[in-house]
Amino acid sequence: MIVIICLIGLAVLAGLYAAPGRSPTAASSAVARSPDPGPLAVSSRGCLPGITDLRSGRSTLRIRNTGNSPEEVQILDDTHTYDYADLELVAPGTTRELIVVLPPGRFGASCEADDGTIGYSDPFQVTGPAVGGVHRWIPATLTDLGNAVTNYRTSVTAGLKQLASDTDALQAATDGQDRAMIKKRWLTAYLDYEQLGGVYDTFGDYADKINGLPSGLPRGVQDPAFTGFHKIEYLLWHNGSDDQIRAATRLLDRDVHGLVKAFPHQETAPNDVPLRTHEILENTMQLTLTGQDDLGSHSGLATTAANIDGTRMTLKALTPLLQQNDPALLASAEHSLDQLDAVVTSLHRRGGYPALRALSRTQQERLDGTLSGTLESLDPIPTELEVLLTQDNS
Amino acid sequence: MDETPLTPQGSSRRGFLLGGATAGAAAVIAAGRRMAVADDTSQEMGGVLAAELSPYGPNQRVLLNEPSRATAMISFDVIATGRKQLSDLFAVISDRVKVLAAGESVAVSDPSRPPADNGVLGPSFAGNQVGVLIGVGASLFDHRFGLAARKPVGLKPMRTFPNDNLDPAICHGDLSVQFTAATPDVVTHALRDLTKHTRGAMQPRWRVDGFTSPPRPDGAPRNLLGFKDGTSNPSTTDTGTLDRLIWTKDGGSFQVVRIIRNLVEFWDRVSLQEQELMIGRRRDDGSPLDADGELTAPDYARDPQGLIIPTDAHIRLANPRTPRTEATRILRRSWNYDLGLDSNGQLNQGTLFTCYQQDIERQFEAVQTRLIDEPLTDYISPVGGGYFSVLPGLADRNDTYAKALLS
Repeated sequence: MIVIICLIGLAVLAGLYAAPGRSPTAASSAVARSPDPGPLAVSSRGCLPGITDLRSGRSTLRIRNTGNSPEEVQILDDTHTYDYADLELVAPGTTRELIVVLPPGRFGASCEADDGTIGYSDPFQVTGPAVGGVHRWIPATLTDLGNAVTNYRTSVTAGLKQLASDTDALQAATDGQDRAMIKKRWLTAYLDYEQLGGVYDTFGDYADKINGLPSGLPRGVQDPAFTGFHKIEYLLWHNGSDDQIRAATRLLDRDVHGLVKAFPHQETAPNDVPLRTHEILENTMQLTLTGQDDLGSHSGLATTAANIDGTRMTLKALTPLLQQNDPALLASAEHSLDQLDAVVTSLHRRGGYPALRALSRTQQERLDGTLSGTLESLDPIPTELEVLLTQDNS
Repeated sequence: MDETPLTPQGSSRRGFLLGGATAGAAAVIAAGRRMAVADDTSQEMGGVLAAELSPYGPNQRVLLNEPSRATAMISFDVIATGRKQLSDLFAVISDRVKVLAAGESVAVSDPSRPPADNGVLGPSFAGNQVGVLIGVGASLFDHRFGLAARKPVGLKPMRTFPNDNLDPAICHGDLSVQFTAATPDVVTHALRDLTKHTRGAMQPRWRVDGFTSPPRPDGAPRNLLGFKDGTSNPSTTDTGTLDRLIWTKDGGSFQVVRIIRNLVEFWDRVSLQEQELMIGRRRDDGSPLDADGELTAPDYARDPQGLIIPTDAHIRLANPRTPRTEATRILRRSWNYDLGLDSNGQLNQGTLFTCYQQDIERQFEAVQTRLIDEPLTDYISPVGGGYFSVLPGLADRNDTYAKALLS
């Protein structure tokens, strides 16, 4: 009896030792580092073959492009809806790192080649505790951005109509000699233009003709290439003659109508709408709050207000997309614009805005600082929504 | 010609440059593990490239050095009148450069007068710690000194490029003087020595101090956009290259200075991907986007449409690496600068860019023309600088700068 028990006992013990991963050294090798498996490969032959399960939290994936085409690699949830990380360009023959923070769940990678073909990796599991610092979003498609462009351009067309009408009124005023009236109409038309910041790149050469600054021109304010709103501003506030003002305004009116005619045929790049949602106010920070774009009218605060309106216009065109893809980002952007708006509005006085240089130090810091914060809230928009243009759609 | 002036401590110049560790011997300017990179004839020094600081020789070879840890670039306007006074001014400048090169054990001081030395380096200072580079601007050749006929061919006032935002207060000048050293105090000591001795004859017009960072973690030092800067440059050790690109016939060169504001808050709000596409290199290790390794040359022929390194990427526009653009290459020497705040509370910092070439139009202006309206122009803003003719070196202890111009 005792012998049988002993034999069974021995068999059980042997079974223990024979179980996979249960060798006597299993305990120590579990904490030893496994050798570096080398980078994961991406090519037309496959998207990260051999990708293994990961622990929740931060992972660094080394990815090597072993093919002939540049590739974009994304880490998606298993329904291919949400994006957690994006390596936008891995050139052939190069190795890059993709850093991603993942919660527990099932995921997969996508690899998009330059010709638009998409491959997917095997699904992989992420196990472990819940983690913080996870950010996911629904990537925008070109169609999404195309819709935003269409919506935005509809507002711009309406804005251009207003601009043309107000520029005509400005020109009409220059037939008389009421400088105060001319200045008032100048400001109205100028602010119309300052609301259209989302499409300055679309406008091509017209942008400099209508709203160019003298920096970068060899003869500065005397340069014949200095035309448009700021040229007229310079003349109005530096004792330009009636003839000069009339000529400059005539030219502006021609250029504005030229733009109105040209705009339907000008193309707006799909990434411009997200980009300009951020960058309109960067231009405000750099050019307006420094006084660089002030050629005498001291209308920096009114310009800032117009630029806020212009940003709201582009954001409005992106709202359906952001509502669906990243509503938290939309809320944060809108809130920050409201905050900035409130600061600017608080500086408004009966009759208009004071000059920037007339603000107290406290007011100035509040304005500069609030705009800085707003810009931080807006900057994720292009980063998140931009679609890398590839050979098949650039 | 092959002077090895003795330092006050008695060791040779060579000893200093290779790190002979005596107090104050901060002569090793090119710190870090930067190798002497030339795309063609690479000379692996295996470590630090010794800096050439001597003012003696046919050329002012100090301009060939890798950017030093500390620098001051200062432009002066001559307020002396007449040829004779101008000559005297150059004699004084030359004398100070020689004294700075040789060092002084203890400055002889008349007790009835303020001290001759500013004391920033202590009671004595070693030689061969500071590089001094002297250039002259086009304005020196106006009506004042009768030098119009002597103006170097190709020297002209710096032109305005379409993306510039030049402040006339920090542009141009009759003379440019650049001091380079391993520490800022050596620079300041030299700068104040020169201005003290030339007061009344020339007046500072504008000045920007600069600094270079240690390699992070290796390779070219980083600029304030976070990118390695200076990876690719013509060889400074191959005499053929130097004769083809850098030196003019008289042993001088042309210096272009550009004070380039970096809109760093704006830049820090742009995605890494966008930054890398604008520059054409990876930010982490400086590799071109189409290869691994900072020192690997990009291969544009393999990517004519710019699908990997965009055709409007900075490095691709600046140096397209074709046979035709080979002659337009420039020797770049850039530092970082930091000047405080702009009126909107943004940091006023950027790049103190200098480059050297034998022909400003053929080289710098060709490069800068290619760069017009590049995407990077939204984030940088040239605000100052100038074009200067770099004088030949001092032939010996009896020579003075600009002797040929003034004879």
